[in-house]
Amino acid sequence: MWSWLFHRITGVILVAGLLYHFIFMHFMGHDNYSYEAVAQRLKEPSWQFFNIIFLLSALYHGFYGLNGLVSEYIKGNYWKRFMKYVVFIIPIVLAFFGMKIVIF
Amino acid sequence: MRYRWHIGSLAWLVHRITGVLLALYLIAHIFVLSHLKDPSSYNQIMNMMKNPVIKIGELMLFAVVLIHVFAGIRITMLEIGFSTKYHKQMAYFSAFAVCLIWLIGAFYFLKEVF
Repeated sequence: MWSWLFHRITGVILVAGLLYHFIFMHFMGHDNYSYEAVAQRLKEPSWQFFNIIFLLSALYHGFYGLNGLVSEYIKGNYWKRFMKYVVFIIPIVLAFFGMKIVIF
Repeated sequence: MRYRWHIGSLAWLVHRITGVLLALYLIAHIFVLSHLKDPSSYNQIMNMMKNPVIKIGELMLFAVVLIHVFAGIRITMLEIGFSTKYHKQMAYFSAFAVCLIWLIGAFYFLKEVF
């Protein structure tokens, strides 16, 4: 129940975040994603906050979805358990890479 | 599992397939971007974005995002209490909104190249 609700909440966060992401990165000119502009933004705490929330929401939402697919479609017990570990570990690794680049 | 196929189950299937595509893209997106630590490799990747093939891929991805987002908004609205009477109208409105936003967005995406 809670994991499902959190999937919904992160979905709402992502709608708002993606709107911002697309408008800012693509619709307001391409200077916004030059190396210098990105490096500059990542120094600001407000952007770091936004990026981390956005990153974690996207990972949770995406891998909660994949977790559902594993539950529904993979039949063998061994494979199911294996894939459950995979969809648990990949987002943690990606969250680590993502947070590393945001914070350092 | 067996379903009787109608427009609702088609909407569900499209939502699911676009979701899988986005999750796979998310893996690549975060992995690639988090490994670009110096200006030269970063700019190399970003110049690749001007390649027409990549641009078409980007536009398709944008469509996938919009389809998934509007399907999500529609089921969220249904679940917070909007009457299922309007289910079809909402689906048609979503399709219209996706097309409209995609066209506007595509204009800006292509403006980056020209």
